Amino acid sequence: MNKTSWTIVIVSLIISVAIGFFLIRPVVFSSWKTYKSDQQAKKDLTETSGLKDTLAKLIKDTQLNNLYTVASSYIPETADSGNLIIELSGAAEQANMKVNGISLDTTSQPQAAPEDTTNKTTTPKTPSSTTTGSSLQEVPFTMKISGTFADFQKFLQNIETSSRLISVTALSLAQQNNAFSAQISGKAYWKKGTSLDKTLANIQISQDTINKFQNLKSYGNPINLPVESGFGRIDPFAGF
Amino acid sequence: MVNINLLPPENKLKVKQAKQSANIFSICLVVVILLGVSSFILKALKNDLLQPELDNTQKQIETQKAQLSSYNDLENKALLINDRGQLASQVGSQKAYWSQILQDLVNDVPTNVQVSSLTADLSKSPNFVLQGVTDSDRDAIKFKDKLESSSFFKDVNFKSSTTSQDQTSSQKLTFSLEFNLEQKSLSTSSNKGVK
Repeated sequence: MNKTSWTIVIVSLIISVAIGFFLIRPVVFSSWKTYKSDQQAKKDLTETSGLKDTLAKLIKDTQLNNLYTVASSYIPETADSGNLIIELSGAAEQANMKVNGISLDTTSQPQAAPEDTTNKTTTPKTPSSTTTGSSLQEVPFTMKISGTFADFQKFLQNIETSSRLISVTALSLAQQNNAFSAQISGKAYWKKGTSLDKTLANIQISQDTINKFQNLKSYGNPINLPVESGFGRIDPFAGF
Repeated sequence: MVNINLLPPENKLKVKQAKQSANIFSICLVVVILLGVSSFILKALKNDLLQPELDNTQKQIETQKAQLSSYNDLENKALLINDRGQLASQVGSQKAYWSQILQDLVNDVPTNVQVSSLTADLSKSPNFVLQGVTDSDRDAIKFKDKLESSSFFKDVNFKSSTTSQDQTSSQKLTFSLEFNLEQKSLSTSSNKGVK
């Protein structure tokens, strides 16, 4: 090639690079950005439509209000100490136990959310938690009761299946002068608001959640161990 | 017919080079024009196709969101139900079902053993301290063995034992046992939830 041809090639190359840099590059970038935004917007639209459909179905669901009442009693939005005392006394009364005293530690402490070890897989229908929102608070309590050991077992079952989430952390049982007495320490929970994002997965209520709140009396109910597996004792605190 | 080029060799070379330059110029011009045109096509694509589609989708989202605001109360209720469900599962997975634990303990008590006191605290070790009365070493050992074989308890140890004679002159053995809760039993009891 001669000198003129080389000059033409170089000049053309410079012009091409200039066109590419000043015209094509911004357009490509801008088009790509618009394309990505469009994809995201379509995804958001699907999510919003799903959310709207789910909510439209929920509004027809007559059990939602009932579930909400049960769920907000199970872990209320305030410490609700008065109702906790009523709940504990009721559980004892129902089991024929005499309540000798209940004390509450009103300075509730936030609890680090325990790790869920039962279901680690993430499915679209599993509500996903976020770090926002208040944490789970505890209302520690101590209760002194007396009666019989068999009734105490009934009382424990009542607590385990009560309409408020209560965990017994420690207990002390004693038989003195033919009288059975017990002191239990435990905690109830409360939480202000929720810490879930308003996403489709968090709005959908799974059958497991419905079952849980509809069957609080049997959900997580301990398996009754057969008495015949032991030595036949019913009350180990009674004399032999 | 035969074509004979009578031009001098220098002129021939000049003509050849001029043709070559013209060809190269044409090719370069075409490339530059193609680049220019493609940039306009891309811009038109973005403005006439992508942007209106994006605007339309965003408009639809806004409409949907406006409709969603009427479901706010319902949305909050559903969120609370799911939040409480999640928390209940988390707390439940670590919750001790004492009625079940005590039932297993009752099943392990031999006929000739009376439990006089039991202290249980899962935050301390040992988790359980039990004091009992029996009339023979054999029953106390039987009790310890039964507790050891239970799926609920582990690390069962004799803490102390004292022999005494009561008013009826029969020998009584007061003993103390320490043991821990088998942590696996916690998840066992809560996993069998929904029936």
